[in-house]
Amino acid sequence: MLRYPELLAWEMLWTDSLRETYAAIYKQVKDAKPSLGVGWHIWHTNSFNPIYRAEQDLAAIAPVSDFLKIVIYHNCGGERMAEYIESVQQTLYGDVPQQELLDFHYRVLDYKEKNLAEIPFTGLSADYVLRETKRARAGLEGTKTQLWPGIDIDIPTAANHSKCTPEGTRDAVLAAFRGGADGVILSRKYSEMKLANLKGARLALQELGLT
Amino acid sequence: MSKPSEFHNARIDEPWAASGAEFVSTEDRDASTRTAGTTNAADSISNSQRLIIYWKGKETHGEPSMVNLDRRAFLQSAAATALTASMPATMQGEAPAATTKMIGIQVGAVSFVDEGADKVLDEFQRDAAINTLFLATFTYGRGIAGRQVPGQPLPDHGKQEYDTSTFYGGNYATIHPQYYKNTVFQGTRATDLGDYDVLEAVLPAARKRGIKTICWFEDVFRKDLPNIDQLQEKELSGQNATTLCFNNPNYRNFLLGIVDDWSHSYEIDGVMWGSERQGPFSNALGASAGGRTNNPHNVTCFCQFCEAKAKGRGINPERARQGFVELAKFVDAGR
Repeated sequence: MLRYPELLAWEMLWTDSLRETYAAIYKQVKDAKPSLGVGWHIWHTNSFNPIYRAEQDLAAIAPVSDFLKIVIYHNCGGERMAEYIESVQQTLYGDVPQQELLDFHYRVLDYKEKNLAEIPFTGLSADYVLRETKRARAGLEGTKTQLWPGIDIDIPTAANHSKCTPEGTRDAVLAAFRGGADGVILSRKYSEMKLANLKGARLALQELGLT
Repeated sequence: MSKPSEFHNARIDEPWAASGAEFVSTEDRDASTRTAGTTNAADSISNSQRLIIYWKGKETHGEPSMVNLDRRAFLQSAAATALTASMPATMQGEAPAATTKMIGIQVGAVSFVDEGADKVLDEFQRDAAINTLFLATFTYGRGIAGRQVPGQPLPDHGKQEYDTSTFYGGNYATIHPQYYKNTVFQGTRATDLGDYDVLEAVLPAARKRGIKTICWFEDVFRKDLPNIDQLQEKELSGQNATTLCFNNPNYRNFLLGIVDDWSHSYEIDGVMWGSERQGPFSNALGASAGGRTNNPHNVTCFCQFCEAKAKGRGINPERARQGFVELAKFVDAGR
């Protein structure tokens, strides 16, 4: 990076191109019908990769974002975090033991989750959803953009890894609203959701007095 | 560019707007809390009133709105509610009352084909008080469209078989060609569900229930689509990537065409787009949560449009190439 600053310049070229695409879509829709809402799905890598997270300047994209779906998938998050740590331990952080690397990421990303051997089998907690929602809320401070976290309901994981439960859905939805969300998006697709786990969302809404 | 405030200002009457709480007093919220699973007729009437408050001032797109209910209709509705209120809500199978928060669910076309629009919407309202659909209207990916992915257990609803051999993807709404004149990328109509138009099929049923519909799409594509090679990114090696370039006018104009099409052709409530990709630096480092091992030699994008854009910023594309080649050597050595 010191010898080739073009590496980061090329990275930002890509990121700015993505943001310009957001702006172009936003303008196209508003020109067609100003009353329509326009927003973006910010994918799960935002929860793992500090480099990608640093590029997600929510305030910068807020002027072209009526809403943001920040992916905060708690259950599959454990498996995915473990995979992420394994991937970067092979390259950028080759000399760092994996658990130490995970601890470093927890510190940088502000998570308090279980250790590397456990998270594929437990998923990430509702506390992760709470922290990520609060962080996104802070990132949108002073804007009018609605914050709608994406909630994991039965997103596939490996056969012996953590699976969603009604209580897990309930706690994730509770955490999202307690973290300042304006709504939630139950994800990824109805055709993979068990009805009992979907009903967990209703339990949360009842507990919050929202239904 | 349009003023961002246009939607923000209008949005105060949208059900997903937090500021919509101005219509809901503490008393209403208390009532709704009690109503969940209660047997009190008075509480149920409060719910009806609350629904009216919830929809006050909303654009109705020609549909009769709750706010237009006359007194007689309201009383009939309240009386009917009172009659059934002696049963627990869970036994009645009723949808919970509307909320001022946006409660959305992502759903693909196949669910409506397999299970029927009304049945699916009943389930959504009953199970999770859904008031907004994020309808997977365009994608070639199985993550948001199609039935359960192969190898995973089928859920307790829908057809009990996988669609591995039939899933194709694309645009699950009708394509109106006038919106795609500025791109060579044509022919993206999904064919796996015949000529089923998910927006045409679902919008009326959703709107009747006061459920909003957001067209949800992502930049996931097949490799075998006509002319897609003209939109693809260029890898460090010079080969075409499977991903498409944001700076390529054919891709940009395709994205603008599809949202223009949906915005003009259907009474939708919005669009959401997602790109599950990251930049070349993270890709070169193999930073991935998907269990994949990225090849650092395949990073993108070095197409003519990106290189021209880079030069405009004072970035030397050749130096960038050299840097990524060196980074790839570093990554290879680490593995």
